[in-house]
Amino acid sequence: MPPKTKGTALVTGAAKRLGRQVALHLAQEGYQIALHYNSSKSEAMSTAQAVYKLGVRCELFACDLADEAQTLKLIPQVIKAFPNLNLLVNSASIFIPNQFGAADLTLFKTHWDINFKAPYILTCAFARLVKKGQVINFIDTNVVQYKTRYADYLMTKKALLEFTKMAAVQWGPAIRVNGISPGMILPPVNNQPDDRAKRAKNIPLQRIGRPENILQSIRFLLQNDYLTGQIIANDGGESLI
Amino acid sequence: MALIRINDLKVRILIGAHSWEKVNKQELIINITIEYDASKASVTDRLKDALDYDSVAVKVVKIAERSHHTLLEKLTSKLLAGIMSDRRVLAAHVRVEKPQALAQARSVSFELSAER
Repeated sequence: MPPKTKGTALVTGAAKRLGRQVALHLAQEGYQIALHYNSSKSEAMSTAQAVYKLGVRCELFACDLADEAQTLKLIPQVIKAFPNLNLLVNSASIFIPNQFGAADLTLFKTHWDINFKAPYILTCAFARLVKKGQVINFIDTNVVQYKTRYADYLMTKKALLEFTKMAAVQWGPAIRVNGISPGMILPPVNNQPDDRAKRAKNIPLQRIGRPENILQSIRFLLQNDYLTGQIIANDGGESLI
Repeated sequence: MALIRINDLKVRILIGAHSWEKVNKQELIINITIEYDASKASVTDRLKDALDYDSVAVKVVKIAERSHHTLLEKLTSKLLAGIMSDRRVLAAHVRVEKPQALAQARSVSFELSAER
C-alpha cells in the first residue's frame, strides 16, 4: 500500500513515455494523480489502471494544451476534483525537427503553445490557486546548445528554462519552481533515427540514461525544500560538451 | 414547436461498475434536446415565458452529481425524468457519452427519449 497521501500531482503528458513514469513514481511516493492527456487516450487509461493497482486515486483530464481556452480551465478543474493539489509537473511536449524561416508558422505556433504557453498558463494558475506547492518543468539538456535540428522546439525549451527561474523568484516562498533537463533517456519519437548509442560514446558518462535517473531527480527536488529556480541537467554530462 | 439543444454539457462524476470507478470521477458529456411550445416567449421576449435552458443545465448537473451510478442507463433515465418533470417540456431526448468507457473508442453513449 502507498504511504499516507502527500497531496495531488498534476502531470501533463502523463499517458506515455517519461510522463507515464513520473505519474507512476509519484503515485508510489504517495501522491494522488491528476493525469493529463490529449490524444493518447488508450495509453492514458493504461497508465491510470497501473496507478489504480497501487491503490492510489487517479483521474484523467483530457485537454488540448495547444488550445488556450482549454488550458486555462485545466488547473481549476483539477482543483475541483483534488482540492489538495500541490504539485504540477509540466512534462507534455512536442518535438518536431525544423529550422527557422518556414513560411508556414504552424510548427512555430504549436511548439510555443504546447511547450511554453501551456506550462506558463498552468504555472500561473497553480501559483494563484495553490497556497503552497511545487512546480517541476521538463526542459532539455540541449537547452545550452545553439546548433540544432529542432530550432522551434529548442527555442521553447530555452524560454521555459528562463521562465522556471523567473517564476521561482516571483512565487517564492510559497511555490518552489525547478526544472529537469533530461539527456539521452528515451528513444526519439516520430520515426526519428535512434542514434543515442553512438552519441553516448562522446559524453562524459559514455552511456544512455534510464528513466529511473529522472525519477531520482524528481525525488530529490521534492525532498530538498531549500531549492528553487534550479535546473538539474540529468544527462550524463552531455550539456558540458 | 421549438427545440432547445444543450450541446456537450460536461460533468465529472462517479459512474461505472469497476471498483476504480467508485472512487475516481470521470468526465461525461451530455447532449439534450427539448421540445416545448415557445410561441408565447417568441412574442413577449420575457424569460419567464421561456423554458430556461440554464436552469435545465443546473438541474441536470445536480442530478448527475448527486450519487454514484453503476450504469449509464440509470443515470440517463434519471436525467430524462428530471427534464420531463417540467410540465412545459413536450418531449426530450438525452444522450450521455462516457469517453473512458473503452480505450479503443472515442466514447460509448446511451440515449433515451420521452414525450407526453
